[in-house]
Amino acid sequence: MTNKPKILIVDDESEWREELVALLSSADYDIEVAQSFESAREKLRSTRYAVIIVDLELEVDEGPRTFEGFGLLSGIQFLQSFPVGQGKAIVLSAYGTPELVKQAFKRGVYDFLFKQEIDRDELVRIVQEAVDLWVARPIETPERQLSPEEGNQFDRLVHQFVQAKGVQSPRDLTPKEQLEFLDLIRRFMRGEAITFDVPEGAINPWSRETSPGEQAN
Amino acid sequence: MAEGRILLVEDQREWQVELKNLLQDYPYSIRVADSLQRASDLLKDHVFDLVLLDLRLNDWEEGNFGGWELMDRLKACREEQGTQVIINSAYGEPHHVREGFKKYHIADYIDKRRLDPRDFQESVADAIEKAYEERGETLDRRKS
Repeated sequence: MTNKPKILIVDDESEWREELVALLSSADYDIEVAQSFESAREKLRSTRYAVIIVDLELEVDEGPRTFEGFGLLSGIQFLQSFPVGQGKAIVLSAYGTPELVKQAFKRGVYDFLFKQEIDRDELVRIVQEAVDLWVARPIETPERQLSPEEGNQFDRLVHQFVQAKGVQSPRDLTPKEQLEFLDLIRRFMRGEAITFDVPEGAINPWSRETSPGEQAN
Repeated sequence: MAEGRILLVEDQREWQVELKNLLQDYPYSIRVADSLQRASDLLKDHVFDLVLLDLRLNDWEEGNFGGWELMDRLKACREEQGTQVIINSAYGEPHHVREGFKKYHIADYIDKRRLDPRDFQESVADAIEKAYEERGETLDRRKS
């Protein structure tokens, strides 16, 4: 297993994936790519990345192209609120209206870059800044990757916990509940079986949302 | 007793009235500055929880984003007093929004052309609460 910072590139256009891989290959990163919402989601569930570069407009099988990247940004923000964590998201988009930029930052992105006027040196520098933040993150977490099945269990566990506490996200927990939550995560990471006695519910952090009020053409 | 001290930096009278009206049911005190100079003077003498900033002062000058010149000053206010900033603009550039969030940590960006009263009121209330938090104070949020 390698200790290089992991970078995930999410873009449905192969030219951009290749370009970004080439740009970032000069630094010592372990780079992975995903070309759809689903494959990115699977990777994000099982692996922790130092940086995730997200194109907002992702290809879907049918229907109009929409800004599915926002669904990923929300999912990433959700994962960032756990001790296990997830690194910073950086948006690289061909679309950049003020509203889109705002909505991305509201989901906690580290930066928003515009494809049309990309400054390659700047991109490399910004990715490195975000990697440095990941490396310097204060919380010590167990250094192991979750299997896809464990990732699903983890999602369910978190989902049930926040439901049991009657809130939307771990960020809304009280300090006492957060400690309880941290303890739960530690037990989970040690491999203890944890079950909850709460009703099935409706909160899904991975909704395939698109930006409100904006449609891609 | 006002629970939110707001500085509204806006040169257009209609917008001054509109935005003040939207906030009239809340326990806020609102001062208005219609120029950069006036805003700077008020910031020197008073502590604000929130600055509502129109980027484009002197609207008749095309491409004028004079309000941006206040951002460094406002950053210092935030560090000293927790002052939050919401940019209100009808002519925002994506770059301003990006730099606003990334470099200046603005609380929100609101496009005046599609102003939603409730979103605006919530955004203002959130920002004021954040100002209190950053100063280590607590605020009982309530509408009067």
